[in-house]
Amino acid sequence: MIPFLLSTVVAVATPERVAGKFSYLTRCASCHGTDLRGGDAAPSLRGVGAADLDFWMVTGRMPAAVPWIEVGHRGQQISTREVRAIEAYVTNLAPGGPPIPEIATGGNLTHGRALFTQNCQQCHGVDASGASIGDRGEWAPSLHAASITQVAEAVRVGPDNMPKFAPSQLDDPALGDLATYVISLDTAAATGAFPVSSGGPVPEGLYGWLAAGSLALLGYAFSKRSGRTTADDSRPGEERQC
Amino acid sequence: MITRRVGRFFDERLGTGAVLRAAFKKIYPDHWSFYLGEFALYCFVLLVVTGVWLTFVYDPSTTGAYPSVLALGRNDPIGYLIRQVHHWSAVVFVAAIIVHMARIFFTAAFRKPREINWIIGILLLVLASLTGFTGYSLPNDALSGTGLRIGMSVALSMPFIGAWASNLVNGGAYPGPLLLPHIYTIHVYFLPVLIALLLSLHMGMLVLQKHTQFARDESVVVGRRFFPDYFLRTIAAFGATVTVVVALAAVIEINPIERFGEYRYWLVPNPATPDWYAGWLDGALRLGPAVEWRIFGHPVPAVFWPGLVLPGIALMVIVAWPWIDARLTRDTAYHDVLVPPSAAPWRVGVGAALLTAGVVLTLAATDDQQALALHVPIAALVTVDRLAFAFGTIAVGLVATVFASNVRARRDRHGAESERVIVLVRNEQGGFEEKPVRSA
Ligand code: HEC
Ligand code: HEC
Repeated sequence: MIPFLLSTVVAVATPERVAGKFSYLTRCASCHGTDLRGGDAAPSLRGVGAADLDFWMVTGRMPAAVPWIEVGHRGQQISTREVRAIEAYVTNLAPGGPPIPEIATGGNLTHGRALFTQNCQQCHGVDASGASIGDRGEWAPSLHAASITQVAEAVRVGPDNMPKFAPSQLDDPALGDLATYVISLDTAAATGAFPVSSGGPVPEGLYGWLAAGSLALLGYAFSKRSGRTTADDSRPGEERQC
Repeated sequence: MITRRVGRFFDERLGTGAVLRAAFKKIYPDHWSFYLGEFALYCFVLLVVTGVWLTFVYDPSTTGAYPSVLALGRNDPIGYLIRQVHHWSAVVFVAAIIVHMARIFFTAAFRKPREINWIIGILLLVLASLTGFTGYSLPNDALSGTGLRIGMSVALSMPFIGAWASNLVNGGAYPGPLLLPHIYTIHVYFLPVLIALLLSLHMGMLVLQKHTQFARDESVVVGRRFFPDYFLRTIAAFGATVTVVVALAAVIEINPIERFGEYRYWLVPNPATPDWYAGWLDGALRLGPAVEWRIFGHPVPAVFWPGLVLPGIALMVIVAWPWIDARLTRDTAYHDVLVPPSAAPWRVGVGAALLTAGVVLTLAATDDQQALALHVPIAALVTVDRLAFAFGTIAVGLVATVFASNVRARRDRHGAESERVIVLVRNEQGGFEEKPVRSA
């Protein structure tokens, strides 16, 4: 509590660099070390770059509470001011790594889809709601919570099991198309009807069965209405009674 | 006035009056479960109508297929709705067939003299699934391409003829230039015509042999005349089918091929499953053991057993069921009267076990999605599913048998009770007393 109060006070009162150092030391150094070199508790932060720092802090993965416990997207945990300050401090002390990508919205969706189906859907699922990868229970998360900048950052830095894509593999305009497509998956279904979660055809079949079930109920309703009942005795079965 | 004239015109030339009179007089027994087959029939009608529409816009060439289906959504005000209705009716079609078939099975309607129609029904189910599978392959999106690739590797696993059959369909190695055109022809001409033919046989035989019914009397059919009573009901059944399917199609997205992208044989979408009615085959492939045996020096790939042998055996058992049943019940007599399911508890058990096997295999086809939802390794789910397939089916079958025999016992008791004649007599205090005189 006290470090938190202090860091907030200091962050407001002093130039960014000093605030960054203070925030880093109070929030990150316990695991990543005062010299950024990491150790048993956490990897080194030397030369990771602003995009990496930004991605891990803005998605709320950092600061972690316990080392090596997997934390997913949980929303930013510290103020944006502190995030910027820590980024400035760390990148100044140990430069290198990709910068935060400048992404233009309104990219080409068709190109974005082609890039996504080739490079991302194998892990994140065709509609980016996450999918399991490998046999040992690993999974890639849903992308619906990520902002367009975070998508672009993830592509550049490759968190955890995810591969990273350098500008030589995927230049910035292409990254813009890709990120625009990923964000477009958050909202409307492809056709304007409601999507059937991420499940694909077998879950679609569930709806088919619901429909068949409601038809059976309707059939039940028809057969209960009154009408004239007649008998027909010309069944061919009669001759074969003997 | 006009109808009467037209009617007379045809009657004088073709003698249609008598035929129509007979048709209008035909008696339909009144039970809700008799509509189940009708719903399937009306799904087929919807499929044909929407399918004809789709043939006008679809391009079966390898490069043109995917864009032509995508263009449906762009250039045509209702094209997308038509495609959704087509796909949803296929999904409901097979479900309705299975519900109808379950009714036939559990009420023993397949007994002599209706074994032939039982087999035709199974053929219809198989053809409906095949038509669904070929239709699902036509848009040439990444998902359907993956399905085709799996289908092709199952075909390739057939000893001796596998490679030859695959080459023939593909016009070369997979994915060959003729694959889509071939599948298109099979999907729009061959299979639907076959279905229509078998359907006419199916229903012709129904008219010839008359309906089964839930009644005491073997010699008469009790029910409603086709016209006007049943006619209105069947129109309502058609309306209900159209309403339910179109509502599904208007509201819920099916097979979003624009998400999958065009098929490239190096791309496999995740998650990838077939349409639900082929899910049990996919599930069988996922659960099948990874063994490759050599038979007479020929390698037999692992997919041969779950992909062809298992469905083959299942199909054979179902086709032979009327005879198996007759053997088990020692009953080879004619039957026009249905039994309630509980009349033969073991039959309920067998049916429940078969359905459970289908459900387990279908669920196994989504094991990757369950792994994601539960965050457990897929390997563990495969083990669970294998156990469920081996023992869960038997357990469910036994429970269903016990349940059905309890129902039967209760029904027998109640039946005996309802035949007891009760006489009430007035006693001296002015109250009533029960006085059983005789019991049945
Ligand atoms: C409780 C210990 C802990 C704290 C506190 C912590 N981290 Fe981390 N950090 C980790 C661990 C462990 C990893 C490795 C996570 C992984 O790979 O799943 C990590 C990874 C990172 C990475 C990714 C490194 C790479 O190789 O790409 C960045 C960036 C990062 N942390 C930044 C920070 C910042 C900035 C703070 C302070 C706001 C912070 N961390 C606080 C434990 C911690
Ligand atoms: C090999 C599998 C794999 C591939 C391919 C892959 N990712 Fe990822 N991705 C992951 C994993 C695993 C994580 C989770 C990392 C973590 O939580 O530490 C992740 C995380 C992300 C996140 C962060 C989500 C969030 O809200 O926190 C984004 C965004 C992302 N990926 C986008 C992409 C894009 C775009 C592509 C295609 C260029 C892609 N990924 C390709 C495995 C993959």
